Amino acid sequence: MAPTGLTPGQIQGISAPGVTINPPLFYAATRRMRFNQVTTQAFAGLGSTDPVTLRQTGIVSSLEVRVSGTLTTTVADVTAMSARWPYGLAKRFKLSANGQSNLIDARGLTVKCHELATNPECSDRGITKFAGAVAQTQGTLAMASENWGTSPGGNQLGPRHTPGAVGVFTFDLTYVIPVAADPVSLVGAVFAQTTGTNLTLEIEWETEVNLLTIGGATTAWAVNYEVSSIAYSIPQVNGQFVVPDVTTFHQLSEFRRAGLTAGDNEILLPGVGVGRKLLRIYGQVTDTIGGVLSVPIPLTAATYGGFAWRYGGNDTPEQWANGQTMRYTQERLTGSDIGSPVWAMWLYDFASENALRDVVDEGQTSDLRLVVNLVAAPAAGAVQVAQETLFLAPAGA
Amino acid sequence: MTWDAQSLYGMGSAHPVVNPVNAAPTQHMAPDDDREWGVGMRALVNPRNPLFWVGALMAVTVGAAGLAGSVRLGPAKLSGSVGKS
Repeated sequence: MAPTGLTPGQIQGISAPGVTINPPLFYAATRRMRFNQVTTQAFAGLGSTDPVTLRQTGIVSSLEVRVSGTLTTTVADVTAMSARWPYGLAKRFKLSANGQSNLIDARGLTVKCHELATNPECSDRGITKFAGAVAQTQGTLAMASENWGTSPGGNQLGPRHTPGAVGVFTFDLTYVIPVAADPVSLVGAVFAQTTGTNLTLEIEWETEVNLLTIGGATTAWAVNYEVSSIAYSIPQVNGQFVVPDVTTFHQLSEFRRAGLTAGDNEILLPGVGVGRKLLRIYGQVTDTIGGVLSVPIPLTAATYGGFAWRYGGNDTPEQWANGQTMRYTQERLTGSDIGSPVWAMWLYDFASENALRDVVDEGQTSDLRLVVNLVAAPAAGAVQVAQETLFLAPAGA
Repeated sequence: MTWDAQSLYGMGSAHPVVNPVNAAPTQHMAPDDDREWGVGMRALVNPRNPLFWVGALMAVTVGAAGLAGSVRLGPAKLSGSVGKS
């Protein structure tokens, strides 16, 4: 039964007397708001963390983070960008809300992939960026208005791409932090209207050695960031404060596992529990190749021998024959070739077509795990896996 | 179209669901013998019902009086019939 009309007295662990859950009434009466949480501000430095305490206002749906600045190379020598540039500049976004730590705990690249996977209006088709010394027009996860690094002379930065000359490279990136699971219904949004609310975003910056290889050159970084919030006012109707269904939290949590072998790698998902629904899984296998960190393993039939997910003893509801079939599936679902050689991400999407039908109830799938079959064992490889889940607010993260 | 986590994602409710219009018990109670036997016609023959024993005592008493009413007293016959005779 829907909780419409329910006045729980407590929402997301916060005392909320006189607050009634009534989505239709809320939609009719609320006001969308967009405001700066942090105006343009210099970052703390590479390898450091910037904590941002967010204002306690309304129902928070998402946060937009803009990262801009310049990278200046001053000696005529080759500076090679690693495979983590540019989205890996934001090494980690961490969002805590209402006592739930790490609702969002994911790499900048994963956050970008989430946006492409969930927002049907967002497309990276035909947007040219340089990656691996090649102009790529598909699967970059970039918006046309983003800049991965361009010098006045027209040289460009990109993952595994070495610019032709030194210079002052201007870059401008944008990330959307998905506080709510669904920005339309606002399921999973954070109730932030009370003084008891605590809403904190941490931006962890990558170290320079992981972003580029300095070929004897010296570099100077000038990086700024700003955070905007998209929130909705809480209207008062007939003496009651009305909110949408904020009985759940949305989580995007990422972990890394090394020690991959050729053949099946069963990756146990941590934190599986009753009251949790698995919406999507994002993954990427990377290796250190030629001294370059985090080079993604291309998503092809020659590299991946298959994908699946499994639970219990050996129940395997879905499997893909190889990397190429996975790439097809996710391009159909997302409208983006996110498995292209630029980032070679893979995605298990249980929520985009029909969430009620497809989401995985973690209460009924013990020992939930991924199966990633690699044709060859990566020498220094690791898999990055991000789980996107929805869980009942009091259930704990 | 409803726009809540249960309709969209099949989430359970975080709170005990209460229908504000037609409140109903939120859980099934264990069977209660006293309640079950305490309603309807069965209550009349329930040994746990004090009225049952009152009725039984009345029946015995009145029945005995009925038998006693049929006894002759000397040449005269006193006929006082209460109950069956």
